[in-house]
Amino acid sequence: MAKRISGSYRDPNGQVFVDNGRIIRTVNQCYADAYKKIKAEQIFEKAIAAGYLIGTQEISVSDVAGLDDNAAYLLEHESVPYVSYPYEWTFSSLKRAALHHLKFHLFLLKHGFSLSDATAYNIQFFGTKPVFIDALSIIPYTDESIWNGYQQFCAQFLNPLLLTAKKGIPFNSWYRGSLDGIPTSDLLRTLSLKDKLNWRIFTFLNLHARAERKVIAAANQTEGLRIDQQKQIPLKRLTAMLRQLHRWISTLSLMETDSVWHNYANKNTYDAEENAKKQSIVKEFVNKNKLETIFDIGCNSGAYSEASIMGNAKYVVGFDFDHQALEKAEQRSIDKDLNFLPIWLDASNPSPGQGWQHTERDSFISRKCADGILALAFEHHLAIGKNIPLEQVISWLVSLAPRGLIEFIPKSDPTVQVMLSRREDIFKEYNKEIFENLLSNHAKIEQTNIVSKTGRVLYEFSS
Amino acid sequence: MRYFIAIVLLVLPLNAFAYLDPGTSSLIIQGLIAAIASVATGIGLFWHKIKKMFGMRDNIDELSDEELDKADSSTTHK
Repeated sequence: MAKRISGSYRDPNGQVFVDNGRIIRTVNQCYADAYKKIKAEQIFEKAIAAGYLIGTQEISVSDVAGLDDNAAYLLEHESVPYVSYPYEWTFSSLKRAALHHLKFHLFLLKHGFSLSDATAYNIQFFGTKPVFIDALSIIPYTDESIWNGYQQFCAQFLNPLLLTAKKGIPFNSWYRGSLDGIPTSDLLRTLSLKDKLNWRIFTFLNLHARAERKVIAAANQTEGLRIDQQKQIPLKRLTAMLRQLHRWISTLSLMETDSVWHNYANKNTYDAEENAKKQSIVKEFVNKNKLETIFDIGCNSGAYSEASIMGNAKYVVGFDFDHQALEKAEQRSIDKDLNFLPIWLDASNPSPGQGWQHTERDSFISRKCADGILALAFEHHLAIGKNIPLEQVISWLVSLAPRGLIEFIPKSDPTVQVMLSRREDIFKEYNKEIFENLLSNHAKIEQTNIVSKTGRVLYEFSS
Repeated sequence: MRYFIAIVLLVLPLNAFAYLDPGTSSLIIQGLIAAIASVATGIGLFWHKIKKMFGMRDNIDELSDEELDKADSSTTHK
């Protein structure tokens, strides 16, 4: 029986359902005319071939049971290996998603079509490659029609990128709290006069915010209101606007900020030999268990994610809370063309289920899909850094996948020593024996390997 | 460009607009934003030609029509 994806409720043109792992999109009668034009011009085929749109094909309406009777057509989409949300992306991922969106819009205009909206949630990633997933956002272009998604594009792509590029403030927390993105008027309050003198910020943001203020002021007066006719924009100007935004966004870069962990791979306390040993254990672990999808919790710059792929993993999602480290991981994935997606995650406060009825965007835990996890040099950040009881840390990690590798960092290790040097040692129950007991209460310990001179141990578990 | 912005500020007829939904303000102002973007593109191309005439390097980053035919041809550039 097909089940509607809870986040798919806004669009009257159709909804998305899951049916035995298949992703099915209904096309309702109200979108049928647009769809006929798309079919006639083979727009889906062209957009897929160019690498813009996710794999999409029409299937028979009688193919899937339990759908809305209103469906005139059915589409089946290729499924995304891991569903992620803009507030979990790195700066570079959001930037690439924005450029993908703008280019796709220009591509469609070139073929006589357009996009009805500009939400960042319509982009998903295959590794670091962005892809557009909402086929029904494609509409025939009508003469000189305005860009309906402009405000949405600013809030969900441009403004978060500017916040990070101009102010060095990661957009993720703000974006997560405000699912529709960062409003232009709010972003402008964070910018300096110098920022605002930039002609692009003035044009794309200030003018817009001014218009918004005037509209609100007029609406509050209640009298003298009139509904202005919708303006039109010549196609040439619309494309100039999209191209200018593309050019601008392609020049934005992440402001360098202090980061604890991004030099971790260079400065950390174990040497190259120990590193290589860990990588070979990871490779062997993935390979012998024939694991396909790996979650690398605390992935840092992605060295072990890469080792997993060398061990024949098909897809790795790497999680870390350090933005600079994630950027390095992302660069590794791009440079080596890996099926590896780095995602921002604070493990002590992971993405919740949120939005309408708490189900519009799924929680981190409900999206778990890995058959193996890596948690290397990670547990002490929760157990000692965040005072989370060791037993809870272990039970959480073990719950993420049926198999995994967890590294235990003893108190004698310099990393933990540094953490404890700034605080009282309240962790009397933090040692290798207790760790091992707790782990064996939750899972079967398959193998142990001492991986450093300081006594770090790598445990392989299965549950 | 600064003079241009100053002129735009002076001639902005914002009081004429009134919508109930603040979200639709973007529709009102979009014509002007697109017009400025269009002028900027024109100025950019003009400068590009001038610089080229004097043999100066100019890293103009305009998407060509051919580039649009492939999604990932320029999405990773800086």
